[in-house]
Amino acid sequence: MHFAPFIFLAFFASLISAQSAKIISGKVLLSSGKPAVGVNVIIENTSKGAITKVDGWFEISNVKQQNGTLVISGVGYSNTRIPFSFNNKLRLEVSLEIKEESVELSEVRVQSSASKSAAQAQDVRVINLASSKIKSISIPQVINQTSGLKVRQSAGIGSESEININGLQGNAVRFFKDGIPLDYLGRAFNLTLIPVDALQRLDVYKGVLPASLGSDALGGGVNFVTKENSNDYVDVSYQYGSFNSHQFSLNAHYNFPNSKFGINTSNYFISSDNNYKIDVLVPDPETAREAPATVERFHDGIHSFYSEIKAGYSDITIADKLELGLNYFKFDKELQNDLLQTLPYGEATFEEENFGVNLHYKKQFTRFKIDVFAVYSEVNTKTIDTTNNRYNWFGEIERVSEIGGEIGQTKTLQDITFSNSILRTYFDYDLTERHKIILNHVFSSQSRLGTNPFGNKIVNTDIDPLTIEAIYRKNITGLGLQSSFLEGKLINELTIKRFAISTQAVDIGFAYTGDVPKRTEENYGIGNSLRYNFDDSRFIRFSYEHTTRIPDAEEYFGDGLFVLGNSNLVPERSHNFNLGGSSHLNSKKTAWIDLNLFYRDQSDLVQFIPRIPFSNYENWSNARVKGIELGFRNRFFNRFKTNCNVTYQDLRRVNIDNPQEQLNEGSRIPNIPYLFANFNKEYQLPNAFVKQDRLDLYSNVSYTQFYYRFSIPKELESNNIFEKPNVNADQFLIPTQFVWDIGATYKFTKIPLWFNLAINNVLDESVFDNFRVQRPGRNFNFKIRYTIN
Amino acid sequence: MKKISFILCSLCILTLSSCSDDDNMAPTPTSFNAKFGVIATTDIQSGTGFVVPLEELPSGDFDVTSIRNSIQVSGSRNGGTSYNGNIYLGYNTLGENGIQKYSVDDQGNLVNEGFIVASSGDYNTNFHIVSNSKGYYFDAGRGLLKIQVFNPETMERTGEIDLSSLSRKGDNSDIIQELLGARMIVSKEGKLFVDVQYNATEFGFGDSAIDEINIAVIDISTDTYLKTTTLAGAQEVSYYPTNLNDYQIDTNGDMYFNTMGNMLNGERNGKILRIKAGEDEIDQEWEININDYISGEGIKWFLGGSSRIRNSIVTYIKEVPFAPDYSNFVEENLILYAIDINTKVATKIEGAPVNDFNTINAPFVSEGKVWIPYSNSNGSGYYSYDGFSVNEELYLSNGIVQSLFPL
Repeated sequence: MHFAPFIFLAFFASLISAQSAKIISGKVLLSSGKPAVGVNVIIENTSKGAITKVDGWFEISNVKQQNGTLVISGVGYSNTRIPFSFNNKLRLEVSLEIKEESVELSEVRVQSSASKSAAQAQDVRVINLASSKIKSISIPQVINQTSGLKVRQSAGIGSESEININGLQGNAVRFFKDGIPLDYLGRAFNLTLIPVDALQRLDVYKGVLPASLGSDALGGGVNFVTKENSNDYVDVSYQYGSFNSHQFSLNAHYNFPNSKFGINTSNYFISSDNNYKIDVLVPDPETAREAPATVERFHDGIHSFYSEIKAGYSDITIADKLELGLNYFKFDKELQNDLLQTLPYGEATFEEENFGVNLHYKKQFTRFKIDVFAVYSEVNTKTIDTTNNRYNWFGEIERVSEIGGEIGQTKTLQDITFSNSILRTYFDYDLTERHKIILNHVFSSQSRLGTNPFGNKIVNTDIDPLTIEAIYRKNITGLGLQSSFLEGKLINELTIKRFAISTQAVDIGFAYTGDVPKRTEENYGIGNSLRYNFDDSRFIRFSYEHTTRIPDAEEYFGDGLFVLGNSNLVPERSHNFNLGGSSHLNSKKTAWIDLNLFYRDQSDLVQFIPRIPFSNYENWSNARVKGIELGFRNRFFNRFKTNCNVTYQDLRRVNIDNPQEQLNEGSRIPNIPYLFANFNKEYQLPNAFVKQDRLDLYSNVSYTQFYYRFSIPKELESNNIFEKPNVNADQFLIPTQFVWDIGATYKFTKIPLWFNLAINNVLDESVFDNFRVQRPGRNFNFKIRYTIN
Repeated sequence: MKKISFILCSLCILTLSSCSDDDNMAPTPTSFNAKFGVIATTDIQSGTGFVVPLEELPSGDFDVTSIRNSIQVSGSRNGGTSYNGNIYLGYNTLGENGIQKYSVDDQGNLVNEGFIVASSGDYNTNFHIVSNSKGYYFDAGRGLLKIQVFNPETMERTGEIDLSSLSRKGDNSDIIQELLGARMIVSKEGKLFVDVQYNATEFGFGDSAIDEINIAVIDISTDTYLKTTTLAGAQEVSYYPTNLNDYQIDTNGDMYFNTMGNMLNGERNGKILRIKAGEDEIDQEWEININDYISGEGIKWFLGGSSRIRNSIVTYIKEVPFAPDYSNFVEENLILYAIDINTKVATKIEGAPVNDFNTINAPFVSEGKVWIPYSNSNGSGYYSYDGFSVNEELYLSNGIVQSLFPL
């Protein structure tokens, strides 16, 4: 609340300086004469802007300045800057042209917020996926080429995954699709699953989550952004690769002639055997002694299908967009092994099927914008582990067990349906030319109802706890104020959020008498991001956030199996500081440097604590994260491109108050890499083989310093970060890894066709990830893409 | 610009470079005389900790991380045991179930002598060594009514004893699962005593289908089944040496063992029972019942109820029953008592620290003393009790001692 006087002073100052409002409008056309749909038109160094409609029309109202520069930008288009002047008129109409940038020309661009939108003060990495679509590349590969980010996978395609953002991962990071919390889509947007073709870009927030993203992330978020308003297009791709991997993607948009009605679809189908080779220890069936062996994963196949259809009106009187959407997702996954890759499974499977319907409305008024999104979805999951067969790593049934399933000590036939309702309501209002206020509210409700005939019953009853409905409701309100000063050079965004939840569920240890325990929680968070633009290509940025994460339903109430609830949990808290900047290094602006420093002070982190006989989640530890990211980009004659970055993040447990845990004071948080780097090189060869055709060659080397698989006391660490700790157990470390990927894309000029061949892990290195689970060795992928615009 | 680019690329290359190996000094030959093994947990969340061989018990505050001949393990919330100077654990470095053997070399380092894989579905693997070349263990994956045989010298499984004939499923439809040796495998006077569980669920505890305990008796020389001894009015034999160490044979040859009752609803509570020296039947006339010491309904069992010194059983008694969800599992309210074997009178042992059960709590009897583990907010360690007074033997202010055992 100490910010309140500042806010009011800022308001008054800007109101006093306000001048009469003017309007600038016009049409943006492509060089072909067709309207350019969905491109940004922004008045440089202000937050004023608009997005072009289906006829290319835009209108920016409430303009205060007499002259300035319009910046027209969009994915697939070259940025264009056009000066304007009102010459004392109140309305200005302009006609603008934007050139289509050959999509294959754009790099895997990791833009700073400066080039994306002058209004964004947060530390957001906008990962443009335009050029990734012409490569056989996965979302994790793209993200891993970005400083400060690491995707952690438990195996191959479709496996469990999480993203590490400046040291934080798991529940600390929240996911969104087009700004909506992702829970309603189940696993459809799993990082290891969704193809790059289905997305336009990824916005990765490393610091403050803006008010428009309604969630209680502790340290960042990822927004999957799909293509919005569009011209007609069809984009089809097919990829085939090692391990019998198939990926088919179809994205299309069609505007009905002479109407404002359009239809859009996004689909993917993915299947893979994931049968890459791994090194394991295999017990002898007679002596029970282990011997090393290299085996093929034999029960890790995946089939997945996602389809989304949206239909609606654009630019009608009552709405800029009024759209109804349907989505369907089916996911079948074989389960291969336990967390540490020591025990093979041969029959256990996981299935998910979900269906959702959503409605999206938005309208821009003169100074006021409203955006409402409502969705209902049902996500059904099945975990099937009922076999008595026990497999060895060669895929053979070694014996028939009398006890349990393959995964747990009891069999599982868990069938759960999650019913999700989300209502997101967004408003923004231009207070003045320099100040915009944002109000965003997200109501979400999830209920869990299911059965597991083999599961544990509530103590001293015959009641399956999954049959009693568990409900988890959230109300998250965000209030933001975007301001610009010094003619747009200084940008500030203040964000205040309120988090409120109500939950109800029972666990197996609960003395159930018919009443379901309930709990409510309310918390607040505040953040501020400040950026100073020295010019249009250099800036420095600082952000601070005090945020909270409310424990999830499972953390409060257990999982209905062996994890009990804990009603004493309190929300996690974190103070996040971020200081960074970006600058060109030469006058031609072909070389750039990015530097980012981050510091997080976290308390009451909720962790799974194994207890006897029941485990639970507890507010277990406090952590401090310090880190630095350094990036360098270079473009030489528009043919050679270099992108390298290094990240060091020091994550340590601190302020341990449990005397029995004191040996961990200052110890590294295990299972998270602390030093990693990436070196990316691209070369474009025009007129390759045939005149005007083109060949792109690219190479990427990633390096990850060894890191800890389990907790190791700080006293046993070496002062040299390259030196192993003094621990007499190599299995406690995840080894240092180099991974080299290469690829080539060929583009035909006369037809919109791309061919790509990629070789990942060229040197066939042993690659490890979460808890040292092995990743694929050398593998090949071929992709063909065809587009019609 | 070129200079800057060069510096930055050099920085990247420097980061990508690997480091050189240590210049290790050649070890000085010594003759390490290991007398104790210690297992301590340093991180409760992940269960990681250390196994340490010691020549003598350190005085003062013992910092387990300062010991250079230790080995780090990720399943340290378990105990250890020894045979012929070798250390045996019911899990390996990664915490997988099985039997792990370490020898101690002249430098005091632990040397991996082999690992036998087992799938017990329990906290660790129950095993028992009877000679240099013979031991027994439970492997649920190989059969629930079978006992596996192994060679502790070569660390290889050598066979199994199939007691499927003990199945009662045909006679009692309440029985869902039958387990042989999941909790008790112990030898006495040339015979192997192995518990038989008849359970109504696959949950693992609190699910006995019959209100009695059963212990199968096997001739060790021939591995043949001799008989089953039973006692009505008791349930759930307690855990093995690398967990709670809840059955021990005293200097007289009597075996005392702890039973936990129904661990989920408390309809049957804990008892201490015995098989006397020279006998292979449970003593039907003798028991120590926890209900005589804690009033009220609830889940009640002794913690460490098998250590006999002089004429008393030394055991912890929790002052209040366990909560139905065990939410009060770790609380500083376990008090050490000596219970007279004849009169059953419990006497609080003065000077013994209060225990919170954060250790696995594996007491043992050696050199005429009971060695008793504890942990509480002041630290953790072991005390010894000789029947008259307590004496601090090992103390850690940081980390938690899970197990101390003589080598």
